[in-house]
Amino acid sequence: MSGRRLAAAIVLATAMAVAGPAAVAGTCDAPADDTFIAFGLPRVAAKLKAREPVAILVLGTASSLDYGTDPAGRAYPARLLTELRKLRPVPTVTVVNRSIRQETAAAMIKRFDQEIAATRPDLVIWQTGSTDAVSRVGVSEFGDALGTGIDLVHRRDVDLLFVTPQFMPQAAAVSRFGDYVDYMEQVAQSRRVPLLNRYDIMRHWSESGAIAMDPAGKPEKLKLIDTVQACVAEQLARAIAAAVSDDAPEGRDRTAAKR
Amino acid sequence: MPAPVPAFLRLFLRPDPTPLAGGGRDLRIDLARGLALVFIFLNHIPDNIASWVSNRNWGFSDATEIFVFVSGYSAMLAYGSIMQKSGFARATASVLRRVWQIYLAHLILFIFFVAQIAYVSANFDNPMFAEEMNVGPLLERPDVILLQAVLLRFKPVNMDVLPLYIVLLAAFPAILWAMLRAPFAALLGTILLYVVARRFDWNLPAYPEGGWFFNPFAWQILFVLGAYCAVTRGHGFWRRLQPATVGGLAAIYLVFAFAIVLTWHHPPLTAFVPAWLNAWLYPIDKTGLDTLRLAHFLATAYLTVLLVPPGAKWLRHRALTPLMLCGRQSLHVFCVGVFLSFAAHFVLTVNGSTNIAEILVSLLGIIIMIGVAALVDWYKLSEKGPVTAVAVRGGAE
Repeated sequence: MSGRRLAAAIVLATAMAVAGPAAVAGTCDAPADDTFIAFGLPRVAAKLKAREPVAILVLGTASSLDYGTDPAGRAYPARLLTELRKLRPVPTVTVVNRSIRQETAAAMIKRFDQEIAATRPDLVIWQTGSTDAVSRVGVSEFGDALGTGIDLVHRRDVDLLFVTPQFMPQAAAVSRFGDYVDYMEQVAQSRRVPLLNRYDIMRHWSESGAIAMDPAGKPEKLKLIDTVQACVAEQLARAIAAAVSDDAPEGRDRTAAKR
Repeated sequence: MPAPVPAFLRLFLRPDPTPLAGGGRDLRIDLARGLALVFIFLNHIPDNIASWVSNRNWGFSDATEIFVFVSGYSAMLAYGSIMQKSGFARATASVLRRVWQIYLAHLILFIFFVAQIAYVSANFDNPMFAEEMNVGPLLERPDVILLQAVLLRFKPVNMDVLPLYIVLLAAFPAILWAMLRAPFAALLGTILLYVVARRFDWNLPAYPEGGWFFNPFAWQILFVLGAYCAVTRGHGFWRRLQPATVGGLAAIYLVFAFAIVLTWHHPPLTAFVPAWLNAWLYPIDKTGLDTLRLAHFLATAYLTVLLVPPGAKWLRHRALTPLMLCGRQSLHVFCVGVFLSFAAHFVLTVNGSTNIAEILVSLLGIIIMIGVAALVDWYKLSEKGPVTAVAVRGGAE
């Protein structure tokens, strides 16, 4: 980093610290620092520009799966298309959800080739980290699995987007989710993968009081699932919209593709 | 007259047999450890706004590095002087007694952890977080978990530092023996172990899988380095480095690390970081004590030693007394800190975690830590009686 850039970075950071988080309006909103999308999705962007259909494959764990049959229990993949349509005109988009409960990143990547071959997606949304944190997979082993997963997806010229674990205040007593989220961010940064930081966004909802994460009664719990999954879908749609915009920095790690 | 020893060989020998005891306490050590203890407490409360003051937000390394290094330094002073006075066997016995005390402290903290988990899992069940709150294996198989815990294979969240300290201290008699004979060779040995362990992924096994969160084979380098600095006080090899050049490089590195850490807190700033630098930097591995972290700690330590002489007047300022006190009674304060961070997280999650509440709970915790330090200090002084209390110990904590 050159001296001028560094100075600019520090000035910018100070300005942002003084200004504080951006004003938030809706329940689902979060500060720009939490929702920032650093890299683009080149294949999806090209498809949208050509008005061709887009196929999305979601590979995640329990928090990506519908809870029960009640529409209020639907998870974010089932709500994504509606949210995307609110933001921009999109041609045919299909979302296929192949999430499996309690799979670690290392277990998931074993399915990658098969799932991608079966669904031929343009974009893989990979939600991971929760199971690894809970079952205490080593952070660097988790990182190795992420790296292999990125290779498997990018090798087929498919776009990839990370989704970090859910945030729940009490869960931090059980597992060190923060370390896994940090590691995911670092791997994403190094390999130029866009990342939806669901953990930081949900933490903001929880701490700002926008959404109470520990309601008591059963109907309230179902209401919470409804609210959170709808908001995650909205944030994911915004992330995809930001990643396909013309000014998104180039996604993918071209040097690694050659390695 | 004996033949002069060649300069290269002289590096390997302890240049002069200065006794390790005496010379008064190095207040910088007490202060560094007091700060590290407070920072560790703040960082162990998950998602705590008050942890912004801790050094992990300034660069790559955090309070754990300080704690391990300073522990090695003061272990050398304390047990080194016992070895010089009463021999190797006596020093080993003292070390092992300490290891046992820390082990017991760890087990007591483990009981608090289980109590907290049992309460949390009984009171916060929501199908949405079934995966994140999956404590089943923990509570359903006490036979397995208890056994794994006493073997130090299963370690609750944020209870990884004491087990690291236990194994490092258990290995300390060997370090002590080597350090008092050939400090430079011991230093080369520790560097070699660090490099080889990182290269071949050596780590102690953990339960249910993987290795220790703080890999002892990597983190030992800080502990042994601390011991080396204690044994070569005043004539370590770094004294021959050019302070202006090395200090300048260290300062540049710290500024660089600070700039990178800013991009973690304000992701839009990542636009300023070139792709090749991202690819080179990340991921930064805490388990194996990434070289970037180690370098960051060394740069911080070098500049601190350069800028703060042992006799600096401000070290005796009254405002620093509470921190010094914490640094002197570090084992007690550390354990109380871990317990308080459990308690603080508990209080925050039950009552709702707002930024104000986080700051208040953090301040209260620090006050309790200082109170405990003062109490332990008073116990020790009153038990020793007025005569021996005057003699300055090397800091066996």
